[in-house]
Amino acid sequence: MLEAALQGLVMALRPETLLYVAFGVFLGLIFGVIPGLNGPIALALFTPLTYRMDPASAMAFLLATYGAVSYGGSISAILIGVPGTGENVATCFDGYEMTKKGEAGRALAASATASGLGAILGVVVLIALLPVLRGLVLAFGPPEVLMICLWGLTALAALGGSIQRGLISGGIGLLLATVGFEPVTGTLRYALGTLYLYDGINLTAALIGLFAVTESISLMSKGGSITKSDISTIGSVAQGIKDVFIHWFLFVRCSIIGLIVGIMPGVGGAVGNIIAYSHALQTTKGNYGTGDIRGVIAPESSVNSKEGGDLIPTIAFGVPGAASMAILLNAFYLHGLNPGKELLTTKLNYTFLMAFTLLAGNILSSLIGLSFARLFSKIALVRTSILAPTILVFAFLGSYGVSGRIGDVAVTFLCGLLGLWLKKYDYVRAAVVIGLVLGEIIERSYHLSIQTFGWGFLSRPLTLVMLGFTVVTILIPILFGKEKEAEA
Amino acid sequence: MKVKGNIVFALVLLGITLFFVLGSLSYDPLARQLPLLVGIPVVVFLVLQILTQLFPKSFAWLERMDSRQVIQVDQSLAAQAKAVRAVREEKGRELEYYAWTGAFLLAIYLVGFLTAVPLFLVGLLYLRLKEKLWVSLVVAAVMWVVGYIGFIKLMEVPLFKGILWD
Repeated sequence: MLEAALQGLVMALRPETLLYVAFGVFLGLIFGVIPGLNGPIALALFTPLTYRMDPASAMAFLLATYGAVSYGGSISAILIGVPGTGENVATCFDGYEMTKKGEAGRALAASATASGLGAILGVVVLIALLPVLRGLVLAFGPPEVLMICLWGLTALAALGGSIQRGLISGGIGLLLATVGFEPVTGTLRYALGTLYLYDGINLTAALIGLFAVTESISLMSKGGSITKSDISTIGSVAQGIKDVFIHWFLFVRCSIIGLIVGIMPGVGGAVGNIIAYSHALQTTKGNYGTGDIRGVIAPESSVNSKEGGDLIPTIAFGVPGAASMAILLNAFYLHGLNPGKELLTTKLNYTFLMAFTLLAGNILSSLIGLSFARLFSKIALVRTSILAPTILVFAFLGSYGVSGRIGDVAVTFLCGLLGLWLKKYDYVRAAVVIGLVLGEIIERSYHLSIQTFGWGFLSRPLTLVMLGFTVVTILIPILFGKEKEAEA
Repeated sequence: MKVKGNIVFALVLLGITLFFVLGSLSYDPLARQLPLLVGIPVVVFLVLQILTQLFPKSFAWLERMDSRQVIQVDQSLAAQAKAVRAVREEKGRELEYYAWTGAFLLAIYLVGFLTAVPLFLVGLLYLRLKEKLWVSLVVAAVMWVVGYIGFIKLMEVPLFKGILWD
């Protein structure tokens, strides 16, 4: 394990890896700062760019980008009162009030420190859990893999809002994944007589459509620029750094909330930061909503610790808990990295590389973001009429770039329409994506389980436990949930 | 209006799911198992969705049960979060812009990326989004350079040339 950690560190410290981390951080900050763009869009758009990179550089680039997006989002939340991503909504409540009072520097520094330290905590927990996860994953056979995939998909679907629409979304993703050659019998399915569909639906092209195309069109439809920036002074940052250490217990509690949110499929950072803010509100007395520094520390601590948590189920079980992780999982496969046993044994060095580069990306983004906050906040004011068509063009170029097939561009286009409707009618896009990504693994594990154990695979102890989790996940909201009154 | 759209979309999804379910019946028993195991429950859920939208009073109990949530967020905070996020007003022009995207796809197919990219950007920015001509031309030029340098030269991806030029 130590050897793998050292190998991971050496890979992370290679000049080209560091260069890709820096590049990823720069792009991630831009995507984070601009309201309407987010982590899944960034990952979907940039995955094609990694196609010709070696796996280490590709992972470093993507994870650094992912890590930087959420801090970028806090810059616009604090400086212009508009969250760059859904994960920074709660940061607006007090962060922007602080800017109005001339304390932008303090808020940005507190956010950077809480984000950076939160990321450290997330990554430390990820590394600490590796031996436990390795033992668990090594005990997994096809039935357990099948059950954990089903549980992940069900949890995402059931906890995302409407259970029915969540399950429908996951099902549609799984059905789309059955196009092409069946993995066990080799039967050709749903190819519609076209050679292009023999290999199935190109995942990268579909993900670009579901996120980048959908969001670009949505941005164009809304139009206009966000607001005017009239930040005269950023102010001192030293106090903001101190604040995190003064309120260290709140920071730890909210980081743990973020971690749990990251590990749990279906909850997502957009709700996680509100939960953390709400926790601060309930457990401490303060003038929240009027520029209380704790109102910045609480959500920002949760946002970046979540990222370490996100990686745990993705790396260990190949079960992504959110859309961004599903896109990252696709990138794993694209670069020949198989989650589960492989990433926890023979390619453990890559797991450490991912942990280190996520950490480096988070820390670097905090430093760069803090140093050039005012400059980045100006990027948020770019007109969507210019931004959205540019993203659209880039999306189509990227979609074609992966395999050089014009059919992929058509898939991107069609998935863009599907994404628009899924978004408009409150279906769960992330569940579609995860169904698409996990479809082949689910089908292969299902057939292997049946062939090896017959239906008796359902009586294996671990399988039973996970089947129980799946059933409970669906039943809990129905039996113990409360009716939805407002959207969070 | 939204209710009607909801029903139409659920019907579209139902059509897609039925295509998968019925299509699977012609495959060998192993190959049809997953589409059937997944497709049949999805059909049931979609029918329930459509019934819930068509007869909201009769199926109100189902709607209430379906929207129950375990993770509860403070109501005032949720409202505040919603207000912060709703900075831009939704104008319902998605289909129009989607049609522009379709035209872009058609242009790529006919004349290839390097011609379609500037055509699409200048057309959309200048004609539809009312940007200044020089802004449209600059954005188009920048993206053309990204396509040419980034994809053709650096990534060595020979971009599609279009059926008319090829």
